[in-house]
Amino acid sequence: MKRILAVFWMFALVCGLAWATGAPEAVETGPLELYLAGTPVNSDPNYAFAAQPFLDEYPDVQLIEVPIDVSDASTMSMDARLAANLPVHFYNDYYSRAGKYADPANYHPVNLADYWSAEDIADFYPDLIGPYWVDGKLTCAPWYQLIVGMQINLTVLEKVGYELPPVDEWTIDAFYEMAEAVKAAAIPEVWPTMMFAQNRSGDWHYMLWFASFGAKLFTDNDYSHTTVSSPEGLAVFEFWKDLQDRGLIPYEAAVMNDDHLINAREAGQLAAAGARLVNYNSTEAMASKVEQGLIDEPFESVFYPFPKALGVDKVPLLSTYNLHVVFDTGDERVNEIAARFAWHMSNARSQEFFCSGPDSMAVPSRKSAVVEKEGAEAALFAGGLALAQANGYFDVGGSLPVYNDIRGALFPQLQLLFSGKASPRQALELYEQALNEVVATLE
Amino acid sequence: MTKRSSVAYLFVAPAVTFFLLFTVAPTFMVGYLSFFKTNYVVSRFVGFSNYARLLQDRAFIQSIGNSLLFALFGLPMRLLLPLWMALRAYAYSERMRNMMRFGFYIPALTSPLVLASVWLFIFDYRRGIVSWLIGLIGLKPVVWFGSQLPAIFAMTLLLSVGGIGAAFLLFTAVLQSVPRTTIDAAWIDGASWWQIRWRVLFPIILPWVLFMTLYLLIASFQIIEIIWRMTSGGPYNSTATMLYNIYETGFVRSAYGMASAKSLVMMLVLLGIAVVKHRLEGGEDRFI
Repeated sequence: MKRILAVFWMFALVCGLAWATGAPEAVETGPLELYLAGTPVNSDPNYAFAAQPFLDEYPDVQLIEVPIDVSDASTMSMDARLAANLPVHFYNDYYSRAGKYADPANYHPVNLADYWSAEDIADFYPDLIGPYWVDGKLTCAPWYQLIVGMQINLTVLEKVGYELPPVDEWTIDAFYEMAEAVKAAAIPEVWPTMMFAQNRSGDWHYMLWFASFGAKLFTDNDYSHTTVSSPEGLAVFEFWKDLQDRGLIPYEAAVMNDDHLINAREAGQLAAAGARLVNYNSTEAMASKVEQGLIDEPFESVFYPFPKALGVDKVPLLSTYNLHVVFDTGDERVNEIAARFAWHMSNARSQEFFCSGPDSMAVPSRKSAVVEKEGAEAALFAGGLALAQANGYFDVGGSLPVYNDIRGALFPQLQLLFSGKASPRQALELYEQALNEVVATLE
Repeated sequence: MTKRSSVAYLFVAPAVTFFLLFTVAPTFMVGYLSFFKTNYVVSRFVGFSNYARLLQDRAFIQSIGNSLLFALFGLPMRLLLPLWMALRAYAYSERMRNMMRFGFYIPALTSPLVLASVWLFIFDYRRGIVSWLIGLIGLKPVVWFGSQLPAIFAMTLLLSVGGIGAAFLLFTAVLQSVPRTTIDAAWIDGASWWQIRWRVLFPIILPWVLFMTLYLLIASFQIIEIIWRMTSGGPYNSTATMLYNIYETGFVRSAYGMASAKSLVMMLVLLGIAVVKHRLEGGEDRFI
């Protein structure tokens, strides 16, 4: 009897193991389940608002959130999900990551033009949606933009007795003057600015220094090779090294990451740093920081372009945004519903809602979306928009599917530069080589 | 096959099934994938191209040297120190030895990621206790994780915190098996404690020292979590071990075919070390 039980037990174990390791397959029973990556429709009231008309239209569809871990700025989480053949119908994420999945050569995005009307697509600003037309197919849709420039902490400048010049006079020399003033004041924990080199994120800070000096990562929309290796490009690396040598950034920049900068900036400990245009001076946000013990008192900031070097007329800003990708499931009905969901997320109603929200300074990617602001918020928003219109945007190759690798290519070189293992020229040459290796994969 | 042996086979069946499914099958799968350029969604057969490319992959080749550096730094701290401690502890009372085992093993129970986070504070350039201590003797603080050798030294220290206990436990257990009569005979022959340690106990423990050396060597190729937390393989890949390089290739850059080729090369390297170990042991398992 014992032997029979043992045999039965072993059989059950083996069968259980075999069953447990079998590939899971989505079985379509009952209502259609739409898997949404990076789209917290059930846990975030803002996303729920955007999704509600879709649910009214498709009451039988169940929306399922797919959490994506982007803490290391990589696409590992999404890749793992696709590799495991787990369903994802719609993906919303920062353009550096999501752009990779809008590449028809390597993934299977649906052609949104098959599901959206031509008038509707024409509603997007052409320069924003243009790069995502590949071989006559619209591979994804850009969501609202977040403009990136320099956040300057006026409270710190007031404490050190430095008067910020107007935008036209905001030069590299002026920046140095400001930075030396902050350094001389020696306020504990306060730095003129910061650099970091340990992780792959932070394009919103370091990319615009290239713009400051008139260096170009790519020229005339030619992404076959980089043009960063130039006197202007060298000036950027020399400038960064100089900041370290003069003690205007933490000496240990080689081992710092973007969290260090963000935490310091949000705690009012940086005089100037790359940042998205948000409502810096929001009373509620400042009160919350004081309550959490992050700051002792509110501080005031302004939005500026990065400072301009000699010979540079105006410094462009950076446009960052999320992309919406719908994956081809092979099932036309599911594709159509997923594309409809994508439309609801990116239509004028949704964009107006997200861009008009409290403290939001986002700019719609659709012409028909109108955003109205009031008071000081309106002035900051209008100022940011005016700067963007006047100075334009810096081309970092953001619409390329390999942009995540492009923005990651700088860090090994910065590590060498800030740890004294490479001169600015050597770091620049290595950067050029690394960038060219990345764009070579596009061929 | 007798009834008795078929029952025995059934008993080992779950373990064998598990081994086949999660060790053998993935190994073959990795071998298969190494001939493709793949992100798991789109795959293209590229033959031996991944292997040809990895020979030119400076970061990968550097990771072999980095792994050996981890082993080199680890030997004194993770092998010689616990060995010396175990030989010293042999003369102590049983109670004292047990207390030492307990004390030294506790850090091994802590997650390496937690230890790594604490270590980052300890070795912080600006606020770290190490910077403060070396400042007391008039030295300048060091950016510990900004250069290869200081970074590997600091990380090896961390690994030692967890590793000393395990090695100490092993060595004291082996020494405990030495018959008391052997030591008594040495005493009667007039040997000092020093001579007993190095002439009697050390030869007995030597095969285990060899085992631990090769174990440390193999383990140094597989260090990953503390690198991920502390340096991300930097500066400029100078602290990335082979396994970290493979992780980065596969999971950060989504080059799964190349990562598979690298994994197979790593398997061959480790297999080579294991063969050397086996040869040094005289081709038979002396630890049974």
